[in-house]
Amino acid sequence: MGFILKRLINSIFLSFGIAIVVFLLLRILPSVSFSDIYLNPRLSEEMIRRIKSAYGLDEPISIQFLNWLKEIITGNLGFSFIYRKPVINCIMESLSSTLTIGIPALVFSFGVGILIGIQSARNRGKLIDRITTSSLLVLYSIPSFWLGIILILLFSYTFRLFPPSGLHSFNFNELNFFEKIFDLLRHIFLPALTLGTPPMAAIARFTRNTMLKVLSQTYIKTAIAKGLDQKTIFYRHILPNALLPVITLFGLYLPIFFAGSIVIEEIFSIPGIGKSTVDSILQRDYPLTVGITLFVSFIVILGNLISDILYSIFDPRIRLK
Amino acid sequence: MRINHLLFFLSLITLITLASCTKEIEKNYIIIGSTIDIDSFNPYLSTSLFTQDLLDRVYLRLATEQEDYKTFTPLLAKRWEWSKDSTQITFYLRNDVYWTDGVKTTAYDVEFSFKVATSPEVAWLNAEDIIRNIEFVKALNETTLIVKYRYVYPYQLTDINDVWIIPRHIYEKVPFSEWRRNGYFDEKPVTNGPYKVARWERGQVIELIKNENYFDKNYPKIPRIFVKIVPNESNLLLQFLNGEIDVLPSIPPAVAEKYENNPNVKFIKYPFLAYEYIGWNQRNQIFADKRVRQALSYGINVDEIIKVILRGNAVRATSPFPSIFWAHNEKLKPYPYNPEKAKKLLSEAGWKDSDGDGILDKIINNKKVDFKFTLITNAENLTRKEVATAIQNDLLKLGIKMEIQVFEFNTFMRHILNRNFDAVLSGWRVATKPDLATLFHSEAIKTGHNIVSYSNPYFDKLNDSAAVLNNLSQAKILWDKVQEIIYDDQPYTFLYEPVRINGISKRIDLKTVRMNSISFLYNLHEWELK
Amino acid sequence: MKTQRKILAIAISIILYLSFADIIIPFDPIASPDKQNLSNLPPFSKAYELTFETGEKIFVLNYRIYDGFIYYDQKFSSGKIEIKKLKKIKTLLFIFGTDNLGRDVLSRTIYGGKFSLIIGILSSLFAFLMGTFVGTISGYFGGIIDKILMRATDVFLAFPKLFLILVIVAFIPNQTIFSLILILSLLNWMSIARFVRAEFLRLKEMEFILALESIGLPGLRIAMKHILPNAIAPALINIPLMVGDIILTESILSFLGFGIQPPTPTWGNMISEAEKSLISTWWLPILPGILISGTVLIMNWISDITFESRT
Repeated sequence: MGFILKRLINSIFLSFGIAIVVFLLLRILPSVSFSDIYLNPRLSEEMIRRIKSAYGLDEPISIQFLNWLKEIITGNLGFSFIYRKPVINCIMESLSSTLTIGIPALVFSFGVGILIGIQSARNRGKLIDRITTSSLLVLYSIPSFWLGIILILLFSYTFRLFPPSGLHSFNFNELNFFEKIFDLLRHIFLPALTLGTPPMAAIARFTRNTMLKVLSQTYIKTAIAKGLDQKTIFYRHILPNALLPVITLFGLYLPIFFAGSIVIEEIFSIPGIGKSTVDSILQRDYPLTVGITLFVSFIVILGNLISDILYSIFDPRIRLK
Repeated sequence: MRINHLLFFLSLITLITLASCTKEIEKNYIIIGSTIDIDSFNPYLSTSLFTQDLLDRVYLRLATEQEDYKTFTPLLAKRWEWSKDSTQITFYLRNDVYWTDGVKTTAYDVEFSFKVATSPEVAWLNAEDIIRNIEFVKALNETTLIVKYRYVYPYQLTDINDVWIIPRHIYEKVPFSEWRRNGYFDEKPVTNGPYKVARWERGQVIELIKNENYFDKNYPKIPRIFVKIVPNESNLLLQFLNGEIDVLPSIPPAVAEKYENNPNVKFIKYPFLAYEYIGWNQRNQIFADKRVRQALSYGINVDEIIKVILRGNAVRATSPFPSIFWAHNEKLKPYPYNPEKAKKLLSEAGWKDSDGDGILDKIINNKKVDFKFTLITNAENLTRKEVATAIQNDLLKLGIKMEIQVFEFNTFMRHILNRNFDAVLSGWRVATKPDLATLFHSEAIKTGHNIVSYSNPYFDKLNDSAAVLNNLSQAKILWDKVQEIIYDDQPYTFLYEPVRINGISKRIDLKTVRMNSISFLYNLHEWELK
Repeated sequence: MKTQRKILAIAISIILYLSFADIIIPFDPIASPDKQNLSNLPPFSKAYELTFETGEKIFVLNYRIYDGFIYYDQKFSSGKIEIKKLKKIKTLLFIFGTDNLGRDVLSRTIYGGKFSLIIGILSSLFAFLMGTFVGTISGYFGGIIDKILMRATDVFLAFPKLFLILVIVAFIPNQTIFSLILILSLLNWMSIARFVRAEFLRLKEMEFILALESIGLPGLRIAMKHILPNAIAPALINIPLMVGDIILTESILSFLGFGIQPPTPTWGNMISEAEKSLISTWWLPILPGILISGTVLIMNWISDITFESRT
């Protein structure tokens, strides 16, 4: 318990440090000023000043920082310029889209990754293992945005099997329940595949390595020497020990999925967190940019925390530290 | 192992069913494609052209601006009368227009809207002209409205018609200072146009449906309009060509050319009230000389740019008034591509290649200066990047070394407004009332949009008198002169006026469609399906 | 030994590539000789450059010689010319096609790879230096300095890297290659710092160091001469992995439009531009994508084999 508490306090401390860094970063960088100027020759300095004051941007930075801290503590995370809503609401709205893609991708990468890793380790040294390992290395190296483009090119443009953009059809509301599920799955398939493939390769590689490590342990060798049934050895002894470290990867992979979503959502036009980030940057909606960065940082910290806790539960040795 | 195979086939079959399963709903709708979402249903907070295009379908204005950009036909106002001295207009409004929540649209709404438009707290983008020109707006009763102007000028109707009319009983509820921090207006917009807002999923889809209580029961003809937002251009285009989208604005010329013979789609081309230019910053010594600017205009092969990059879909620009605009001086002919003449002018201005390195040079303030500069443009516009490269090649032939720097839009605007550039490739959209003061008047050098720091007292004087002249045909004579000055001084090299290409599916009856520079959905309520 | 030879071979080929990239490209990567006639040619297209006696050149897609005349086809027109006036015909082959401005995709990819690689390598070198610096200071001084530095490292590590890089890059005006390298290295030193510090602390307790201390050598000298080299060595393994990672990051930034700006090609911005016209010119993103994947693959492979050879 003491360990978890210590990690928790540490995480809160970290989050606060991050909040300060993010705000200062954005305010100190020379170019960050609010500009709502479109190609409109009629907009004068006076109008720009007025708009700035409407957003409270004409106050000194120290006051702005205090206001912002207040917003964080109340849970609003600030006020978005473009959406005219508390940042947290914008994040929660886009989070649902991101998760619609992210969760299937997560399931895919862990499910398929672990399966492939196990199969590969069991066939160690055989041709099939060598082919899998090298193709995993290739998959692991492919940039996801390029993979996405190629998949669109193949499955949307050439074969017209899957829609290239969005989360559901425009007439989604008029469909019945099953059609809705079909529609959703059709739209999710390509982005989730793109998002999940590189982590899948990484997880498969990792699983294979831990499997091999476990296989070389003495107690497994003893078990084999004892002449125990192959299946029993595998399911009773090898698998649980090999999968423990893989499961703790879960927390560490959360941030990777968020980072991946930036590119995937841009390519597949999904209104999620990643797309909001890019849009907020392009439109200079800095409360939103800051809010999202902060939010995702929290998730990273949370992910690390969960990883640590999981590990300490499964592996009692850690707790002694 | 066998189970694995079974699973594999099962998933394959599911995939195929998924892929082939789409359900059709009754085709009484059209889908408009767009790369951007609208920014608000509150017209006073919206900034993008696309938002205004759409808002004009759900909010009624006093009158409808016609395609000549001069005349107006009745809409919310049945008729209007001018006072004897022309400083006052009395509007008589229709009595049968209702907001979508059942409340009647009255002159008091217009009065309130004027208050909004001029409020410093709202900070509407177009407020300045209204504040400067209109003294007050007053409702006498539910249907009678008086608009009092500070003085007489030709665009009195244009200005009052710019004011969006919003429901007072809704917008009153939130204090002006809160507007920019409140999403309330976007949730269930109350409108009075031929269409009403049924749903808005940000970044995904907007659905407009027929307003059953619209005063003209004949319209709209198409009962449902979907706006599908797909930020990715090629993605959108594909959906258009596949027939999943019926209307697609701003199609790249190369694509229109390629699919011209596609039987399912049609392309509508029309000139757009805008022009592309290169601005030569006269704070830079090099460009302070008129002959140099003229030489640059002679030395850029705009015709080739139009032919190659725009596939012929543009008209050469000669002045800050586009050629379809009534104030345009049609006697001006574009600077022809003439490198010899350009070289001659440059050498007259003292630019010679004295050290034989292929780059022109000149002694300025006892220092040898090479003819080198940087052209900036914004990253979002692919065409501009291509045009910049073409110009770079053309100028190199004259012995001028031009670097290109591309900025993301906001950074780009900051460079422009701080006058922190040598030359800029950009474009202006032209307001439907002629006024060049914001762009070229000496007073606009410090604070306005005279980004090239152009100054010519004669121009200032002529422009000021032309802008307030009430007789448009007399004003035209002055505007012609003003344009001649600009033509000779070449503060900008005017490149071309883009032609807008919009795609439209064969499902829509083309005879009923009118698209123009005011809006590509100009008469959306009159469109019909085949 | 075998591993080292492989690494050496790859290092040499990268250096060769970087120094000869400008020479081996068949066409000009920035400007096309003829925007109009050479634009949007699919892979394996041929075009011909006809040079006349007058020195004038035209580019044609097809020609045949007949009856003393040479008949040619261009993209939008065709014509004929007396064979006497012709000086020479040169065949141009565009293996990977051309883009919408008539530029050879192969040349652009080779040329653009230079920038991607330089950014990747330089950024990771800087990041490595910084990480080593912070790690050494932290490990050497210990105590409060160590605490502060490691807390700072933790804060930076807790950021979702791509988000932070994106925000900083997007908000800095006048992006140049150098500022990009700086930013990328500023945000990648943390793991190296931790690694070096841990090694440093471990080595400090080693017997040979304790022995050196007992002979009375000054602490700083021991740290610099005996601990540091040993602490750095294992961290070196991380470099190829980091190079691959930064190349990926750079390509993502360019893809989103925040990296190196055109007309300078990088693999990332080539794919980004290609994506905009994917329907009409599908071949544009293929080659740059394969090369990014290939480069990252090689980097990952190096780190794989070095890791294997150590265990």
